Amino acid sequence: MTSPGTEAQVHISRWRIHFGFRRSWLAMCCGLMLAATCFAASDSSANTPCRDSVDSYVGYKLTDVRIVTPLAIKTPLSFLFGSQKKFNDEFDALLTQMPLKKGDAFDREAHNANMEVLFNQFDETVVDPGERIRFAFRTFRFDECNDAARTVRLTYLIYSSEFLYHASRIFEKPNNRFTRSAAPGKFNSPGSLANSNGKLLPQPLVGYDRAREVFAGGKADFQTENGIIDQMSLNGTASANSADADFNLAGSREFRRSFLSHVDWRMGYNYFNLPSDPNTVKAGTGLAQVFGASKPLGRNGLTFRFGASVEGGNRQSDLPVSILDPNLVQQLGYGALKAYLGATANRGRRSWTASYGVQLSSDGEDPNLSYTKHLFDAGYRLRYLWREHSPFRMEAQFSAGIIQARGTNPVPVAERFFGGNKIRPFIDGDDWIINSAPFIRSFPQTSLNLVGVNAPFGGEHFFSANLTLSQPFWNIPAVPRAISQEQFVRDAIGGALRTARTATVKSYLDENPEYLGIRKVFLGDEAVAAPANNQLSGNLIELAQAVDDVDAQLTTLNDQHGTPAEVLTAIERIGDEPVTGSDLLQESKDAIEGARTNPGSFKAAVRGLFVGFTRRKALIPRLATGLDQVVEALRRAQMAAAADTLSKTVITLRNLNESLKPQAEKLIEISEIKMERFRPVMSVVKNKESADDVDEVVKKIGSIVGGMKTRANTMSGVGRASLLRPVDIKLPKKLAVKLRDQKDSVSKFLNAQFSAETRELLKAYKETAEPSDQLVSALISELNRLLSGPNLFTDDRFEDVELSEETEELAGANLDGAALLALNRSLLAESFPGEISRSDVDELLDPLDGLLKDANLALTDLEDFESSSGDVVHGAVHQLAVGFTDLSLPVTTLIDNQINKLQPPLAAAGLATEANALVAEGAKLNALGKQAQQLFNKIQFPEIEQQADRDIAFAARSLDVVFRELNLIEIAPVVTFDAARIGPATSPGFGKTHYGLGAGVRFSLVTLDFTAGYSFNLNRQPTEPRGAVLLSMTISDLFR
Amino acid sequence: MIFVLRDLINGEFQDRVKVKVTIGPTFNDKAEALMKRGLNAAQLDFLQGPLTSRANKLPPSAGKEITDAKMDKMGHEMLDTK
Repeated sequence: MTSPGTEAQVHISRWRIHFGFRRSWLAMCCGLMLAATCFAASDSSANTPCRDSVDSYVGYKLTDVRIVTPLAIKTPLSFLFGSQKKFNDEFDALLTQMPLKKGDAFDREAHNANMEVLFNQFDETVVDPGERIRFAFRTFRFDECNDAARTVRLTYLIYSSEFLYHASRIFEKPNNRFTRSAAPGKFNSPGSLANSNGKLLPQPLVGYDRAREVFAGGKADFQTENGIIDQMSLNGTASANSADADFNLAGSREFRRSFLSHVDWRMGYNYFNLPSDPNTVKAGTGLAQVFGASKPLGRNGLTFRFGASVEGGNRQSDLPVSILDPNLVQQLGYGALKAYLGATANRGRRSWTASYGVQLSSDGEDPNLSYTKHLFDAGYRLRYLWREHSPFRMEAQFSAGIIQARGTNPVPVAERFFGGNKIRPFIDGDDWIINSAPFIRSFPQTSLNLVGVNAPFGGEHFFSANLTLSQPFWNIPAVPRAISQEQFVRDAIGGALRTARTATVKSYLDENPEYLGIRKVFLGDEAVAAPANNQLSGNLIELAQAVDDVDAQLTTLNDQHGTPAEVLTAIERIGDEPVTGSDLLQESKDAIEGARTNPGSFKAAVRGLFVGFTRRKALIPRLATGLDQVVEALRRAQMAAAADTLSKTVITLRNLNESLKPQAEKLIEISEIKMERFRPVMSVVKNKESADDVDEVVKKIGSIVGGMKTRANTMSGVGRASLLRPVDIKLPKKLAVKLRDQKDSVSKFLNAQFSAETRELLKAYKETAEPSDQLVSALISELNRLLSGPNLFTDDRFEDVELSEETEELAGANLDGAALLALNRSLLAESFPGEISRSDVDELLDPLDGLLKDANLALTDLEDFESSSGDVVHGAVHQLAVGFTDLSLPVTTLIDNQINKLQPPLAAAGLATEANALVAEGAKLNALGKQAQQLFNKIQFPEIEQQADRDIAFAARSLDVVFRELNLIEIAPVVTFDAARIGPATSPGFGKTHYGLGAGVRFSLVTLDFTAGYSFNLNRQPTEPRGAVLLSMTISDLFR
Repeated sequence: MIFVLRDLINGEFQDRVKVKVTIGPTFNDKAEALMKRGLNAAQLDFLQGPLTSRANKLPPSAGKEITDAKMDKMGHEMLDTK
């Protein structure tokens, strides 16, 4: 089940801090982006087929040893991965540390040492609190292999979430902070490229918009740590007919234990001067803002957003007064209070958003209300993953707004609704975007402005509806398929997430009031005097004193002259306990010290002292028992005084143990859910009173598989009653070496049975090359002759071979014909497990056998359900029937899937009856698994477990995205449809709904989406544009 | 099987104890099951308790591997801990 040399690890920490990166990258040439795809190519050498086996290349000269990552893909966009050079330098340094280098002869041990160097490098990197998830893979491959020249290139492939981060970090935008908190990052490492604190981060910017034409500018951010203001930003762009600029000072605060997740505040000034043919809309605004968000609530992560902004400034337009409506003004002061409330929810790959915003405005001089603006904005996003790494995406948005003037108060033109292909946020600078103008991609920015003949002054009300559909047709997965499709990796991720859950529950437990109360009892109070009359309070202070007393007494006995050998032996046994080898006194002291000084290991230490583990009893009772032996030895040696003193201390130890053990058990119980709650799910998983539970069906499948193998072994050419074919020799070179060297009794025996010619061929064979066809053919012929009989088994011959139970049972039997052939084939295959295949059926059934083993091991843990612990049952049931969606499927589903895959080849091999029976049982198992999953999901877990489950669900979802959806590069055709209307119309024929239909291509680089295309104005009016260019750069919120 | 105990030291998570236990053929199934199932609370306590305590007794290795028979035995013990 495992892939040699491939390792996986997942580190998860539950701390979250917000991302401080406010670096956006907005200038990109469409042509360059698309051209890049023409050149993008994975490492071409990967196409050279080489053998996987490490042994195949022992002794080959290494033409090169190199380290590559997915970011090594050569494209004209490589400069975007600004950190590539840093990685290359790091890899060069690593290569110098590796024992196996370019020019060396390949050697297995040195290769393992190379892997170890990589393991250390990518394991020990500091995990920062901001890094909620980290995973790393290391594997290797041979390429450019040349058997004639005996040369090969060794390539180590490294994949780490750190690289992904480096690929995407330059695209971080403020509004992604909240939704993309899974993105890994390294804040504290001084050398980290991500560490932007204290640095001025200038970024140039160039763009094109039909209304604005070519515009250019830049932005600069400066970040500091702490303080009320921790960020300063300055943005500005200008073109021949437009300009916009803003300057902001911002700060934020995160909350750990509150309904609120974070609050941001901001002060600043912004200005824009945008063309809206023939008009120009201008505004200058000073503002003070506060925004916040709640923590995600419930299973769907329902999050509330709120914010308010106090603004003052002016609003201007260039329209001649003559054409303006009497209620409109060309230029007016501006004062406003804006407020909004919004919510977002996510379920799997679907998300919903909805917001309402209100603006109360005056003319800036008169404090009375001049007009009110109401806005509603809702969105729905769907990513349907019908095939891994190829998600169909749908984005739908609906926005509407209305301005209500108070009495005859005028409304500045710049405050009215102008539509176009750019979203205009209700509150500038907020993470939460509420669209405050009709969005229609077939009109250039602010160009949907006509409400009548000669009336280009925007609308008092609007609505817009937008739909975007896309489907990738080409991609390079972010995680190479060789890793993401490996079942072992998926299983390891499942195990790592379950471990992370255990650790997360434990860390939440450290904050539980009941837990803290018990801990307080254990710790006692140094300042409180000991109770009179030697009464014990029962705490670790007293225990530490008792253990110190024991230490002092034993040291005295050890040091004093004339202590009998029997006493010294008993003392020695405390320092080196028989069976466990524990130093009971020292370990007790360490555990007490650990419990008193390290809150993180308190529970572990207390468990070790008073409760113990499955194969290791509690320390204090063991220490007391060991001391009893010393006391007895002292009494036998007539040392009554010393015996009495030590005996009193032992009594104190036992009393303290009696007093503290129930508290320790209570401490462990707090974190465990009541087994009663598992009863409904156990009725489906393992129910002695039912013949139709998971346990029974797994047994039935095992029995069908066993019966099938037995029958296959009687079928010539199917099971083990088959002579060897070349394809059955899995590693000819290794087999030839073993048979030539005869280092084990089976090889020795076989070699002795071979003909003189075959022995000569073997003798002449040098492992520097693959065995010749002549040698392989001779070996197969010799082995087939021996397989036919007599029985190859003798006790001496197979003494060192680990035979299966089934083969051992048959080994001594008097067999003939097909049964004897099957036995001999089993004996050979089990003697050379890596080199000779057992049979076609065995090879086919191997993955199913592995899954049945997993199921049986999990079911064994549920054997003693009543006396088991909650988290053991949780882990076993979760692995069996729940899993982590499609990322790490439950074993019951995996078994059913595997059986369905096996059905055709088994039926073709003449085992249709058994294959069909397996399919029926597999479906039954899957159904039971799903039933168990539903019951499991209904269990009311304690609050801390629910918190841990939410954390782990987020981690699992993020890993699911990385492994099954995320692409390093992706190209997708895009279709857009928009409808928008502004009104009221001032002339007949205006105020109608406009429709836009567009098509384009989306190029995605990790989570950055760059879309280029054209949207047509379907019901174009004479003065309106034919359409508009689609050009957008956005970040996908894949990690919601 | 590799166990890394990380502690929050000076505001950063740092490795405090790193134990690598090589599992022989006898324990392979259990080790594989552990990898797929994940650690339970008792196993986590065992790693943080007795195993870490033993690791702390060993001389600082400065990143190099140290072989310790008792530790190896404890690794196998941990596989059976429930």
